[in-house]
Amino acid sequence: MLTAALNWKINEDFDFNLLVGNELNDVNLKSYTETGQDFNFPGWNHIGNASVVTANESQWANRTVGIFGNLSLSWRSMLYFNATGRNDVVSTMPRDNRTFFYPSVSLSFVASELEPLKNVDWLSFAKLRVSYAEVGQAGNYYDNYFVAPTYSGGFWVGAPIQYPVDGISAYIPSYSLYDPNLRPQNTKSYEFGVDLKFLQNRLGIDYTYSKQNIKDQIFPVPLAGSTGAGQLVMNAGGVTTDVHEIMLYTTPVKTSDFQWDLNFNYTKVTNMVDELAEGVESIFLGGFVTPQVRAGIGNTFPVIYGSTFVRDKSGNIVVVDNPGAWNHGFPQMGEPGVIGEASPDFILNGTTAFTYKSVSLSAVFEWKQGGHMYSGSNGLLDLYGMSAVTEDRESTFIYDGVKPDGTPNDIVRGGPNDPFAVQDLYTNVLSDIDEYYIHENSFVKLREVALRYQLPKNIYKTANIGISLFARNILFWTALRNLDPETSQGNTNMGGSFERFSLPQVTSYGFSLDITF
Amino acid sequence: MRKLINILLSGLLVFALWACSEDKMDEINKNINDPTDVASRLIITDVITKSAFTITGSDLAFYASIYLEHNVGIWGQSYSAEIRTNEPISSTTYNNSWNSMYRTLSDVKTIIKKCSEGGDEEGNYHTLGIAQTLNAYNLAILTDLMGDVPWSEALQPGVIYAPKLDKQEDLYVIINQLLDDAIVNLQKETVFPSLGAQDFIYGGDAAKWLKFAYGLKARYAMRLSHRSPAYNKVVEYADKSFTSAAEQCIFSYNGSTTYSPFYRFFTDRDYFGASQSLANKLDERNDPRANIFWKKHPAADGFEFAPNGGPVQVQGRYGISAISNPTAPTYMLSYHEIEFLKAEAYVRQGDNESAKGALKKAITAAFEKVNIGLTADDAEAYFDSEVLPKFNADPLKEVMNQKYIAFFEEEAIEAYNDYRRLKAMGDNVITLENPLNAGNKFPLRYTYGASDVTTNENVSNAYGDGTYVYSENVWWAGGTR
Repeated sequence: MLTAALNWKINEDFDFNLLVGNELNDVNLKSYTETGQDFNFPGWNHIGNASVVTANESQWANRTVGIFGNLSLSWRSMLYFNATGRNDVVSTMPRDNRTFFYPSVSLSFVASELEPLKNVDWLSFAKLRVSYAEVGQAGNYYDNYFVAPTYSGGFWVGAPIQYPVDGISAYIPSYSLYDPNLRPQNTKSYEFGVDLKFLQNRLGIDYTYSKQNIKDQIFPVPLAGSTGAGQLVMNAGGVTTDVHEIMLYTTPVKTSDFQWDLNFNYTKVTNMVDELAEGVESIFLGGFVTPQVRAGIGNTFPVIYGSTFVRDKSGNIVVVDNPGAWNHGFPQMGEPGVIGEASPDFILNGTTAFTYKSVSLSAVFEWKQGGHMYSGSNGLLDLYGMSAVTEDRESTFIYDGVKPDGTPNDIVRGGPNDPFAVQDLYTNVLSDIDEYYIHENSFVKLREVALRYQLPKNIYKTANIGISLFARNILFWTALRNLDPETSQGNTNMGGSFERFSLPQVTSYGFSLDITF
Repeated sequence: MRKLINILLSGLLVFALWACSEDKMDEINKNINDPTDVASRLIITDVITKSAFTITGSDLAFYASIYLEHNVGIWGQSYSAEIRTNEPISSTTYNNSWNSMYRTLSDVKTIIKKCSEGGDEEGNYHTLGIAQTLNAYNLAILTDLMGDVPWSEALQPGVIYAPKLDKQEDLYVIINQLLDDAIVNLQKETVFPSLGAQDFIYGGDAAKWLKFAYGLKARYAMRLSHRSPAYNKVVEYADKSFTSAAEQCIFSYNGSTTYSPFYRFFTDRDYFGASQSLANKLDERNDPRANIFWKKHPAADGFEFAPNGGPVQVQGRYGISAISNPTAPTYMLSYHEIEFLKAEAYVRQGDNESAKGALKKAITAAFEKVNIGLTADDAEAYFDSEVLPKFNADPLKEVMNQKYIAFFEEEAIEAYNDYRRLKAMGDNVITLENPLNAGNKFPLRYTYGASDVTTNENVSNAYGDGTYVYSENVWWAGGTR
């Protein structure tokens, strides 16, 4: 990396900074593996003792060459302007689509520095910010290649066929293909914000609105099996994220010995899929064959997609009316569709702290409102008859819904003459309907309570000691039964909307000691 | 000094430009771990393996085995298929097989392109002929089970994302054309070396592949009997096919790096119980195979058959197949099937004497299957005392029931195809006992795969909610699609 910088103080008020540079990033990886099987005799753990030795090697290289510049200009402590630009050339994209440029500009204005506002008592600080930025991002492109076939998955435990077979190998085209016209993806973000502080900083409000437009997002798009391939790495579409964020800082009480702080952070994030490349119906983000977590056009994302209940026009579950059948009076599986939206309506975080002299007591809580998740564990608890709802297997019951003719369901199942009804319902009907596994997962949590004591005097020169006791994850209320909704798997892509066999969250209590110098 | 700086700067500029030139970047991004092209002989090996193990031998056969009552599903997805709940109508049930069939067909397409005019192995006629035969074979399984399926627009990833459906009637024209082309190519002289050991089935012997291609012509001519009977053609093609079990098209397993799918289905899943209705058919005939087909489950105290349509969902209670073993071969087209095809064709032509001869050969070959182990003498005794009287009473019924029994358990897909064709032709000669069939719960076809139902509108429209499997026959069984 080479950079050149210029600092120029134009006059009392103006300050000018310029930085230009280039960067060359070159990575070469080689890895070797050597595996030995069937040792001739025990006690000598060395490859020379193995009867079957397999060796493999893989190499990977990548180069990025970037040129960048950064210009900043400020006037007094009031107006700040910043502009950047960067051009990258990357090796991991197809020929002729390797170069991309992305700029950014930002401006901030500290209004409280204006003469008329400088001496206003109740206003301590006021700032307006606005910015625009683009970020380019390369994908990982390869020419299509052949691989050795594998036979695991599906019904198989392990691989029933393993090449080489009797010394014969085979190669087939890789399941994953790359679009030779792959372009770098581009994210444009706009941001506008206000920071205000009043009454000697005892009350503060920050508000930020930002919008991100991702164009030509690179995704491995799952293909219809009938195309003969599994997925295609391509520019699959555009998504937009809108974020409103409000921070509120308050100090309701402040005396020389005692202070009470109360802060809130409200966020509302909306992800929308604007466009998808021709032929792409939705983007697979995670999950099983069914249900899946996806992003689809016209929906917020992620959404959960899977088999539904058969419902009538007004949304009532339609039950089977077939006297004598094992599933008489039970719901049925309908067409696959969107069965839940993972995005919450909003998230509100709060922190509060009481400080008296050297002792402080603080708490952190979070409220997530709205959003759905797939709870595999709850479904399995029902399937195996281990959950509370399956406890009563002897009383009669009527499944809530309507009959095919539209009248309310009045088919009575269960009781002594129908002993398998409860088991059939949970094991053979509901277990196949993904929609049954969908639960709202709003929650309110007390994340942490901590008590901290700071020694009033330094122990040695500037060194000081603080002692804290804390308890984490102690109280929560949630719309999801049996489980903490945050115990989900694959959170990065799937927005925490998938859970199966997950471990409960731990409650922890602790003690900590911190020394500052 | 300034000059030196200038030289240094221009040197850096040249280096920077060279460091990111397209050629240099191409070189850096070259994937040296995997080949970007391989010879057709290395691709066809896995086409053969997938056609046999995955497509003929695994999931599709397991479900056919349940619907056809060769086995009873007693656990998990198999139980669900047995009691006709989710599995028969769900698009996820056959999704893995659906994807495998198209991937195999895509590999076949690559081989055909390589070996055809303008390809880099132009003139490799035998590999081309084998690929065309396997193309016909897999496309037929696909359409036999699923009806109208994507073909003319299929196999173009990144070009056509949502292939339209082709009519089954048109697909059968294509299947027969592929076989006709294969028959020509397999008889040509070629300078390319034989596939040899890369061909797991015939070791590259083009003459045997030719017999397989003729055998498939016979099978598919019979398949279309409800639409356009051509029994003389069935016999004509069958006569050019296998003349003994030594020539039949089977895929063998070595029991160490390759395992028989039905055997692995037991060891990995244990979802099947011994079928009561199949046992009833053997009992009616005092069939010696009744002592060979089954054994008690290793975890059970005694032997018990599973009732069709209503077993208790429990493992380790019902008897299991005794002929599933690590090396039990997968039959892509057996010699006994060829003789059964002839026997049926003769019966339908009214030539019962010829039919008897073919039927006897078929039963003998079925008795001598490697995992049955009966002898020609056993077969003869059985034929004379049990089969002949029944044949004389109702020739078609006995031929088809013998074929149905002989197909236990590796040839379940063909048994399922026969059953549906016979029903369409009004020949209710094979009795199934699952009581749910009476309530229109016999799956007349398989659903499309979820990968298309979720991304290809043409397929999702055809799929609807999946209940069409209970009401709509495929075209050759009298349906419209």
